[in-house]
Order: sequence, then structure tokens, then C-alpha cells
Amino acid sequence: MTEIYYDSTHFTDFVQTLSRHFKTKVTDGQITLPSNVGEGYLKAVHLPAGISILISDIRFREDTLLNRSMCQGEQFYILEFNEAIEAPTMYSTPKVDAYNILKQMVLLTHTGVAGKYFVPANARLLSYKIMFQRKHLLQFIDEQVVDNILSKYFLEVVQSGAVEPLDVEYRSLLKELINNNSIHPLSLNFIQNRTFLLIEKFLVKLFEAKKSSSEKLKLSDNEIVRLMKIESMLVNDFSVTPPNINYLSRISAMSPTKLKTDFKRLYGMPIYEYYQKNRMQRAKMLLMEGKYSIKEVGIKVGYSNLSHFAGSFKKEFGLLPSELLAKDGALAI
Amino acid sequence: MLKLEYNHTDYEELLKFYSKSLKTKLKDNLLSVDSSVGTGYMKLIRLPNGLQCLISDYSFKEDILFQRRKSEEDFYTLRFDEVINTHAPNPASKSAVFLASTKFDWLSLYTNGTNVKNVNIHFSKEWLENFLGVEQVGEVIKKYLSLKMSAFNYEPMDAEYKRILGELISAKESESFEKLIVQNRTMLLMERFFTRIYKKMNDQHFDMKVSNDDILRLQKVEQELLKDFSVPPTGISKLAKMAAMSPSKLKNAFKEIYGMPIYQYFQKHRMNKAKAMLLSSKYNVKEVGMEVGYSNLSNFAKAFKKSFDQLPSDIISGR
Repeated sequence: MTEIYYDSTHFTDFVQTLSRHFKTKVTDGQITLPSNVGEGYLKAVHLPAGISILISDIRFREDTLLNRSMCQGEQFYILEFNEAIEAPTMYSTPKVDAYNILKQMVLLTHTGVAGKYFVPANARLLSYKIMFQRKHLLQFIDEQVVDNILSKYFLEVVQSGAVEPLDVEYRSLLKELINNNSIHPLSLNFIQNRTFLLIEKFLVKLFEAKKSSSEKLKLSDNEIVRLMKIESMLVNDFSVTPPNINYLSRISAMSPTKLKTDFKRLYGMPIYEYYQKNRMQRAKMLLMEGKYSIKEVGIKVGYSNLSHFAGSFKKEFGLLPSELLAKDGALAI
Repeated sequence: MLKLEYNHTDYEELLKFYSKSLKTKLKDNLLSVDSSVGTGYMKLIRLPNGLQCLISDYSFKEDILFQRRKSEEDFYTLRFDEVINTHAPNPASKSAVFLASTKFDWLSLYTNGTNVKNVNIHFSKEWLENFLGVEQVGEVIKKYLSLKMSAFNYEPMDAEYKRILGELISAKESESFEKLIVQNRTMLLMERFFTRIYKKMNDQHFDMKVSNDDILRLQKVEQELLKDFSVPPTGISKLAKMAAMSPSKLKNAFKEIYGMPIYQYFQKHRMNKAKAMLLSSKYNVKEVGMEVGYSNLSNFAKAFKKSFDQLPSDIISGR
């Protein structure tokens, strides 16, 4: 197992540390993993608002343990989103107390305590990490609310290491960030705006969950991980027919009834509705990219009948695919 | 008719001015239209990153004219307007997205009962420079804007703009995070608008090879053209001499930079001036016609109708 030690409060430093470790060069805050270590890249960006972020798409050849030591002084929070796209089914976790990146999809930590992150060999992992401070939240949110969030909610989340799934919105933001970050003409603003949206979404969700905390999830971490696996199977490829409930229930080792109820509890809606919503979101994203015709998009999301596609699209967004990009009457000067 | 004439570049001051002129209440940057004159509100949110965001939704019982006078201070407003004319035979909604500058006169007239919903994002030239300055394509966009500013940059209000605006307007329901949500949506709108301007530039093969020198000379030509409408416009050959370009180069370069041929540009501004004068109620149709260079009134009426789809006399009777 490879072990890497670092103590950074800035992702540019972190990328530097990795470059020394792997004996590779940093260009524009970015390194490419040498082939003896694995493949993929990590890129640090310092945003105009003073927040630093790390975008990465990597696969290590060996199990890797990243050790972040505790930092004195000002506290930094790290909000990260991880998605494993090709994960090995069997791997041995280390005997140390570490975050398992394959399970920790949405993770909040801070630099006031040391942290260990375990990345199993051969897993392809997409990550987006945001490092920010109290002062960044204070710009938008009343001091009282901020302190409440940091001292109560954040502390609870950090201590419990709770497992939170990636939902539709998170995933579409992450996709945009990882696919488009360098080709967008206003790339820094593009990254910064989505970074703030991720922070916003995390805070709003946390706040709402705490307000209605009586409705606690009675799911174990293990169950959540199994449900997340089901979810990723559902939204993986829309061009083929989705797996049916019986199959899903076997995969998740839950009875169909338990699967249905627990899925709804975790993702806020029934399985098929969730599937359909994601499917339509994907269709919308593809349409807005402007590269595909309506027909092509329909096929990509599994509709061979275009009028069915149009009907479903209208049901989700209140307008037809053809209306999405249509111009409407401009005001006369 | 209610008439508001102003040249404020700070929205807080502007809102105070509105409140005074409309004799209506203003509290914590929220102006509530008094029921004696209409319904609705205007709400200003100052964002931590220096943007000012004005959200409005109102209708007045009388016709209302907003007349912005140009100011020496260089500010921009990114406007998202939706105007619903409830009196029209089939209530028509018109909407548009555009960038306006405080360096130019500007007017909006809404007939009584018209429902106006808009979101205005207001910022200084310096702010815009910082915003674009961090991007590699920033210089190109800035150059484009400085040239195209007098011809307004219009964009259709599509479903994606509407979605973001909807989230912005409903941010007030989330008490603790309103500012964060509004700033995030505002920035998404800015990002989208400027990205699309950039794409449009590329689509139109906007020729950035027009030299800075050429641009300065074209600006002189433009000023000369709009200096005085009461006399016949300066001829192409004279303009070409002024610009030290051949007539055909001048025509092409002008169209490139100002988005339309020279005469069409002249005519558009001439008619805009005529409309503004008519709306001011200080002049009759004949005086306005003379002022913009028409000795023959029926020619004037025809040209006016061609631009605005109504006769000058309709404006007079309408106010």
C-alpha cells in the first residue's frame, strides 16, 4: 500500500506534495499521474473568491492511503464529492480508521483534526473538493446562523462521518464541472459559480434535514451503501431498459418491499420516479449542449418513439423539447 | 401619465427617488407600490460581491414612463424583462434579456395595467472588468462590448433563463440563505449572458482585426452621424474622408462594429429621439418632425410607423 503524508490548507500545495511524491511536473496547477503509479489527473484551482478547489479523475495501481495531518491555526473546511465509476467489487480495507472514498460520496471534514483517506487499487474515481473558511460563509449568511451551522451541524456531520448519497442535482453539477471545466470560455467563473452552488445545496439540505430531524433515517451505513449501488445502476445508462425491481432487490439483498420503502426514504421519491427524473435531466442537459438533435437525444435516453419522449419531457419540465431552446418574442426598443 | 426622469447610477438612491416620485413607501430597500397608484413591489438586494440586484413585479393604474438620462458614470445593467399587456385583445407577453449602459439615454413606456416583471443586475464598469479580467477571453469580450454598447445586446429569454430567474425570485422563501441563493443565481445569469455574447461573436466571425485606430475613427464617424438630426446626414464620401478610409471599407467596418449599415443606424437613432421627444409631451408632432429633419410631416409619420408600428399622433393621444 502506498502512503502519502501532507498538511496543506490549499490544494495547490497538495498538488505540489503529490508531484514531489510521484516525481512528476506541475503545469497550471495540474499533474498527470505517471503510468507506474496509475492514470488520470488532479487539478487545483484557486478561485477569485479566495476558495481553492481540486478536480480529479484518477485510478491508482495500488491501494493508497492519504494522510492529512492536523493543521494549527485557522480552520479550513473541506467539502468533497466523490464518485467511483469503475470500482472493484473486492478489496481489503486497511486496519486504520480511514474514510473509504468509495463509500463517502459527499463528505465534510476540517483541518482541525487529522484525516486518512483510503483509495483502493484500480478504482476509477471522480472527485471534486472544495476548501473554504468561516469567513466565506459570513459574506452571505448571518453570523448567528453561520456559528450555529459550524458549531452544531458541521461538527455532527464531521464526527459521525455520515454517509450522504449523491443525488440528481449534485451529480449534474459535478458532471458539468468535470466535463467542461477547461473548455468553457468563462472557465473560472463557471467553476466558481458551480462551486458556490454545491456549497449552497449542501447547506440548504443540511439545514432542512436538521429542522425536520424527527424524521430520522433509520438506515444503517451498510444499507445506504447498497442503496447507492442500486441508484448508480439505475442512472448509469438510459439508452437501455432499466433493471427491474426483482433484479434490483436481488442485487441489494433486500426484499422488493424493503428496497422500495428504503429507496424512497433515502432519495425522497419512488424508484421509477427517480429514474425518470434523472433521465429527463440528462435529456435536458444533452439538448442544451446543442450538439444533438431532439431525435438523437431521445434515443440516448432510451426513447425510440419521439412523441413519447416529447410527452415525458413536457410532463417533467412543462415544455416540449423543441420549445426548450426556442426563442420568444423580443421586446421592441 | 406618471413620468420618472433620472440618471442615478446607484440603485439605493434610485429606489429612494422612485419612492419620492411615486409617493410610496420604502423600507429596507423594499418599495411597495401604493394601492392608490397600482400594485406590486421593487426590491433591492445588495450582494456581497458588489452587484446590486433589483427584483420588481408591478403594474400601475396610469401609463408610466421611465426615462433614463445618460450619465457620465459608467455603469451597466443586465435586464431581464417580462411585460404582459393585459389590455391587448389577447394578452401578449413580451420578454427580453439585454445589457444597457448608463452612458446612453433610455426609455421604457408601459401603458396602464401592464404587468411588468423584471430582474435588473447593476454593476460598474470596474466590476465588469474584474469579472472578465480573470478569464482568458475577457479582453475580447470587453473590446466587443465597448463597440457594441450603443446598439443594445439583445438575447431571447429562453427556458433556462426563466428557470434561473424563477429560483432567484423564490429565494426569499429561504430566510437564512437568501443572499447566497440570489448571488449564485445572479452569477449564473451573468455567466450565461456573457458566454452567449462570446459565442455569438464567434458565430458572426466578429473580426477582431479591426485595429484600435480604426475603432477610434469609427467612433468619431458615429458621433458625427448622430450629432444633429435636424440637418441632412453627412454623406458617405465626407464620412470616409473623416475616417481616412475608403467608402467601401468604412461601410463594411461600420456594419461590423455597430451591427447594421450606416443609414439604418442613423435612422434608428433618429426615430428613437423622435419617440423620446414625443413622450416628453413638450413638443407637438410638427416640432418633433422638424427637429429630426423631416420637413414633410407625412414622410415623418410614415418613417415613424415603420419603426414603431404606430403613428406619432398615437403617442401623443396615448399619453
